[in-house]
Amino acid sequence: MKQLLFNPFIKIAGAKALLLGLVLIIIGSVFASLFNARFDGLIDLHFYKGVNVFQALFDQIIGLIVVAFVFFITALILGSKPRLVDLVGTFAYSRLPYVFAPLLNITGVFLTFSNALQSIDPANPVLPLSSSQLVSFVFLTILSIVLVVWLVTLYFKAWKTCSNLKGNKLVLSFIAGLLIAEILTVYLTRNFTI
Amino acid sequence: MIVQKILPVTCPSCSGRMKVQRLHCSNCDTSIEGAFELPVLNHLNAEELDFVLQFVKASGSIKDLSSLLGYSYPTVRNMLDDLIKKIVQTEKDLKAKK
Repeated sequence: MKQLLFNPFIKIAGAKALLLGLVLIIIGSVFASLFNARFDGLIDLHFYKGVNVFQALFDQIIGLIVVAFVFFITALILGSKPRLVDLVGTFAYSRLPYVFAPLLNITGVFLTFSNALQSIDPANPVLPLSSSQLVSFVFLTILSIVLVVWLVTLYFKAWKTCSNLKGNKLVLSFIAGLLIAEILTVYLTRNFTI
Repeated sequence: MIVQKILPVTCPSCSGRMKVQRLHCSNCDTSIEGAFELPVLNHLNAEELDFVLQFVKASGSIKDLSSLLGYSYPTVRNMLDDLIKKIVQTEKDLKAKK
C-alpha cells in the first residue's frame, strides 16, 4: 500500500500509467470545477469563483506537457535515455494527490477566507471570521501542504524511475527541472485561459 | 537434507575478489591447483545472476521480463543498466589485474 501511494512507478509506468493518469486528471478537473479550484502552476492550486471544467483540464494538460518536455530535455542533456511514454505516464499518474486537493474547498472556506482578507479595513485590521472558520482554514491549509509534499514526492520518484540517475545528479536535476517546469506552467496557465 | 552451497565471490575478510585455487574431478579424483579467475558472471551475486538468467529466458525482451517479474518497464531497464555498469566495471578490474 505504501509503495502504491509513494512509489508506484516500480510497478506502473508507460501507457498504463498514462491511462490511469489521464483518468485522474479528468476526475481532478471535475472536482476543480465543482469546488472552484484552478491548477495554475505545476504544484499550484488556487481558488477562484466560477472555474469551468475545461479550464481545469487545460491547466492540468499544460502542466503535464510542460513537465514531461522539461524532464525529457533534462534527461537527454544528462545522457539518460528514458522513453517519452514513461515520462508522460509517470508524471500524469503523479497528479494523484491533486485529485483530492479541490475537495479542500468543499465548504468554501478558502474563498470565504480570501473574501474576508479583501474586506479588511486597514484602519481596523480584524478578520471577520469566526474561530471555527479560522480553525478549519488552518487545518485545511496543513492538509494542502501534505498534498503538495505527496505530489512532489511522486514527481521525484517518477523522475528517479525514468532517468535512473543517482546521487547529487538526480537531486539537482530534479530541483532545476521542477523549477523550470513550474515557471513555464505558471506563465502559460495564467496567460492562456479558456 | 540437501544444503545448497553458494559460491562465495568476495572475500569475507577483506571484501576482495576471490579466485579459484583448486579444481577437482569427482569422477577420477584428479585435482588441479593454480590461480584461476572466476568468469565475469560469477562475480555477480545470486540475485543479479538470477536476473541475467530470467533475462535470457525472456529472449532479452525487457517488456516480457517486466511482465514476468511484475515490475514496470523502466524499473527493469534500470536494473539492467545497473547490471551492465557492474559487469563493465568488473571486466575493467579483471583486465587491470592481469
